[in-house]
Amino acid sequence: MPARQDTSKLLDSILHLRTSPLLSKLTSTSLAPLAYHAQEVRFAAGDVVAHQSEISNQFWHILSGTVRASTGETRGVREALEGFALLAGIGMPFEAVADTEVRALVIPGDAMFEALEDDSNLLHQLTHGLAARLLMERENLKGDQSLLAMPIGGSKDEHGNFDLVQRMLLIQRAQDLRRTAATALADAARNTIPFRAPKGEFLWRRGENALHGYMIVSGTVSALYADRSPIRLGPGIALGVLDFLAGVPRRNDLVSNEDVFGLKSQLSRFFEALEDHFEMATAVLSTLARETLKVLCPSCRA
Amino acid sequence: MSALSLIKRREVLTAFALLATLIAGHTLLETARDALFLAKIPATKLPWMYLSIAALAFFTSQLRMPALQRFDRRKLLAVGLVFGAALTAAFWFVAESGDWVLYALYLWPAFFSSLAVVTFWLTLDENFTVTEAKRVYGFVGAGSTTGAAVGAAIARGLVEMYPARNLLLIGAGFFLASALVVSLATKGKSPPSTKASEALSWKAMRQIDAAPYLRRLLLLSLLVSVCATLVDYLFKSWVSRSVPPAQFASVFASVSFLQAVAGFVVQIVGVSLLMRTAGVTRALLVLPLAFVAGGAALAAAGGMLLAIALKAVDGILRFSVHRTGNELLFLPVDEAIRQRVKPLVDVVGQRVGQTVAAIGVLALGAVSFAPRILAGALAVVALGSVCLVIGLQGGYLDLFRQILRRGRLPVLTERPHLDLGALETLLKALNSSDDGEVLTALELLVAYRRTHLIPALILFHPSREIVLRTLEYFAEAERKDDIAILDRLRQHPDPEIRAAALRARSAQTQEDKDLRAGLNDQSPIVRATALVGLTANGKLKAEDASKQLIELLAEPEEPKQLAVAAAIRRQPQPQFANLLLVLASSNSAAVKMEVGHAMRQMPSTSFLPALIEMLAVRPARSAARDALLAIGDPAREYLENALQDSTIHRSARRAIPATLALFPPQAAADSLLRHLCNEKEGVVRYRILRSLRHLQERHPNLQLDREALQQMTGYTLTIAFRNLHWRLTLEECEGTEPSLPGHQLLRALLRDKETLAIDRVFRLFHLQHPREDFDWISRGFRSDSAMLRSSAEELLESVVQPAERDALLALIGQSDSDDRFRAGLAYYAFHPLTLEQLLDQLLQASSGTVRCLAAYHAAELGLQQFRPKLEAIRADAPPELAEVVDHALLMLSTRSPTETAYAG
Repeated sequence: MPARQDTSKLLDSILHLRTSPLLSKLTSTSLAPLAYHAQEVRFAAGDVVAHQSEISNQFWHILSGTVRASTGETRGVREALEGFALLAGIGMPFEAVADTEVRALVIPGDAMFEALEDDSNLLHQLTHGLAARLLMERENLKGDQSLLAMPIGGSKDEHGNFDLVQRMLLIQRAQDLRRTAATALADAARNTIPFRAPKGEFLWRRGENALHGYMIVSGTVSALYADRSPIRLGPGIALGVLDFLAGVPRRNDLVSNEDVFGLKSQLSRFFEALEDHFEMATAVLSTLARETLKVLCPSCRA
Repeated sequence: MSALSLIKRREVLTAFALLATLIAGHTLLETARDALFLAKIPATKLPWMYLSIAALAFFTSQLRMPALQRFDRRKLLAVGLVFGAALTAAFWFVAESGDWVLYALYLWPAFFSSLAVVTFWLTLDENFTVTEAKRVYGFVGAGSTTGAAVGAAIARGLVEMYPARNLLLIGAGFFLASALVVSLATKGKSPPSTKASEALSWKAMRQIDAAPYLRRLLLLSLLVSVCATLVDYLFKSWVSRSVPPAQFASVFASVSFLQAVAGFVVQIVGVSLLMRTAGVTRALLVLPLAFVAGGAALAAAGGMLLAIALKAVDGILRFSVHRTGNELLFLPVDEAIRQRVKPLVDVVGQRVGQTVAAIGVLALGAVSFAPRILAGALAVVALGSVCLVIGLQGGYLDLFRQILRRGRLPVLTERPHLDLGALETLLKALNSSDDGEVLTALELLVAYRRTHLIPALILFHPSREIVLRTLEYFAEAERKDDIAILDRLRQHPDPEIRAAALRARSAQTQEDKDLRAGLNDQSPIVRATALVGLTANGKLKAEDASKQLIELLAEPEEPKQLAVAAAIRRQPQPQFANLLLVLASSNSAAVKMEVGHAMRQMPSTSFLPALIEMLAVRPARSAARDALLAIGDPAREYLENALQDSTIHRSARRAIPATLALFPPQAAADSLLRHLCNEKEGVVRYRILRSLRHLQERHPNLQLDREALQQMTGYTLTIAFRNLHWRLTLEECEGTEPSLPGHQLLRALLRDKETLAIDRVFRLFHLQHPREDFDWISRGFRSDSAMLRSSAEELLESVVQPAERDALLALIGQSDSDDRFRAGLAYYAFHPLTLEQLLDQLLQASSGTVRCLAAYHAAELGLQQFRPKLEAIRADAPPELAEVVDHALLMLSTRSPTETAYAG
């Protein structure tokens, strides 16, 4: 327990952390363990805040001031510091320099991951915050890039009634789930059912709540928008989870262009699965953070 | 030694050889010294010699300090040994030149050993971790007994033919040989960096004084030294009084030989075994207990034979069990501190002990020679050291705990005290332009029970969320100073704010004027709130209100449902129970949550099925748990039954253990433990263990059924060994194909299950030994640091029963597979399996996933002999397995073994 004179500092940190975009929905109970480990740091204008390729092991929340890359870029620098590089598990994509005097709260990465493992609310909100940011950044890209579809490796045209093992193998082949524990894969596979959609069937409609994620094994689908050209996708892609993670309704119609076959997962169980399998949760956080950094700073090696 | 690298093995063998030659020379030197001295000088002079040796040792330690700082320790040892050989040879020349030579000769072995032997052990300590040391120090220590045996045997053989003086020359030869061993071992090696902290320094005394553990080590060294000096004196006195001088050398050599041979046997057979089975601190009790018994017997009966026996036992145990244990006690001490403190503990402990004993003997001698009284004193001092060793256990283990916790983040265990400065911070935050900051400040003020300090004017805040939240808080705290503002908010354009203001207002007064006005509001949310408020005030029949509310909810819109649920929550009436059950079936998680809060306000067993279902909905879970808790014992019993019910929604079932843990602790723990042993689903077992752990942390006096926990530990170890066996067989047996996707998945699954079982074993240990932090022991084993791993092992060894401990160590260790299964024999009978036998077992496993993968793997390998087995399984397989088996049978009938059905 902190000494009495530290209480103001702790509460101050809780109040400040609540203003972080990724942590804004958290209660003081979830924020307290993070605030307890938060240290205030200051940098004068021109100081190097983080070196390029330095493995990020801190979660920053910049209270005042601005940062930029030493090359002059500003996009993505703040985000990389504010948890995206840490959660993505990558080194800093650039050298970050204080543009003006910078004041920030810094939380050790270990404290962040310990809290994530202990507090499902924190895990949920952080996932939600990252997904919402990725969705927004993708939307801004317009065109085909506005929709996140993860490629599934291996052959594209497979048929048949997928059994549990085939579903496990398929999920494992989906990007970033190769290292997922086999028990988590089995749980994830049990949460899916094979589906077939004839040509012209809507897999979802704009404005609906996101209830299912889809792995399109064969056939193609199109995402239809009211104000822009459709986007053609598939086969060998996974999509539809990001809306759910971000907590937003579907932003487009998804219709099959031909007979489509694949797996459909119940998203209502998604967070349960993340709580049961922390490694899978960190893999999801890592994907969301890395994809966001890729959009913010395409030249970076996120 | 099997797990040591080649380089380390060479170091161990060199150390053994060096110690053996060094001690052989020393034994010859001591035998000659005792025989020559006692033949001319009476034993009553011995206490003066002890005092002189002590003084000389202090001088030596000062001499050693700068030398250790300046020179390579190994070279210093070599030079010291050459010098020792020269001086010992010089004594041979002058041995008969007068009594002064005998006095000097008596001091010489002590002076020499305090230089050479201490430097030897310090050099050795640098190279090994505690786990390695426990494995090899027994062997290295055997070098000492081997050397003593060789030296004593040579002495015993020669003294019958030659004068004792000649033993000096042979001793000098051994010292020269030791110097040669050191030189050869050092050849080509760069000297290790000599840190300033390694120097022997009297400043280290302050460090000892500041650390209770080090103080105890010093005291132990001192007490054992007192005992050893008294034993030596009793032995020599009795021999000099009972044996003719001509036979002194023969007696001393015989006793030395006996000590060495028996010591060797103990060292080889007993030390390692004792250290591993009894642990370091218990092993250290052996010598003091022997002193207690010997001292008491000598005090009671007296006699030379007993004195000889006691001396022999001292020599056997002190240089084998006690020395090894003492070295191990220092290993968890920080290396820099150890290097500084250990020489001081050795020197001060031993020499002060010698001084104390000598003064004691002199004091007694002034009165009269009373060996039996001296023996009684020996028993008393030894008893003191027994108590001291018992007290050392805690400190020894604490050092390992500290090593494991280095770098561990501190935990915020409770909400800190709210002082004036902190309060100011929160009030200031209410003015923040950031809504999140304001909401957190509100939340914290409520959590600190300072709702009355929230300014009522915040109800005019532009943020809708802040206003709604404040209205909630004010209603809960029954604030009455905001009536005027509430009246104004009832005209607010936002219907939810109007409804919330009406709720808060009606909770404050029993007047129905505002509520009746609310019935005419254009918003159904406000009308619903008014209906509930009027019913609560008795102005409207509940049946009528319910009817109107159900009509209102005909179109299930979330805001309306929320408003009704919130109104019922504020003014709960049993008549609304059915309405709540209707609302509980809403698809909205927010409505379910609000219903849960309302159910908490009017607990009823009729809510139980709905509340269990709500546990499956994450956002509503906490409210559902509160409501279940409010229902009390019937809810606990219902939850217990639900845990056994496989038809309950999987997510709800998985949430039950943590829910049960909120009930009165003992009853909750008993329920959870009962289910732990019968639970089939691994995730639920894991969650039960986690809930039990939380219960135990919150209620340290909780009584957990140890028998059930041990039974579960045994079962889990069996599971872990079985998974290990299956995985190793899959990896190593003939006929399999590691590149096949089914093989890879099956192997990963078995490894995963093995890891999860090991994790559950650690959790079970924690429940049985709550004072020990098994999280950190488990992390220590997973660490790359050898020091952390050995610290974890040391703690595990000290706390857990040998059979369970050995089994777990085998599971997480890196030893070859045969050793691992031998250690787990109590839990798992290992029989080698062929691939076919393995797949047979996997197809009958309790895990559905394992069975599915086994069927798939058999098919992808094209094992046609499995067709009948798969067909038999298909007959009564659950749907999931049936699908896989169908696919497997299809693969077997259509594809050759090399064509995989679904290559990744």
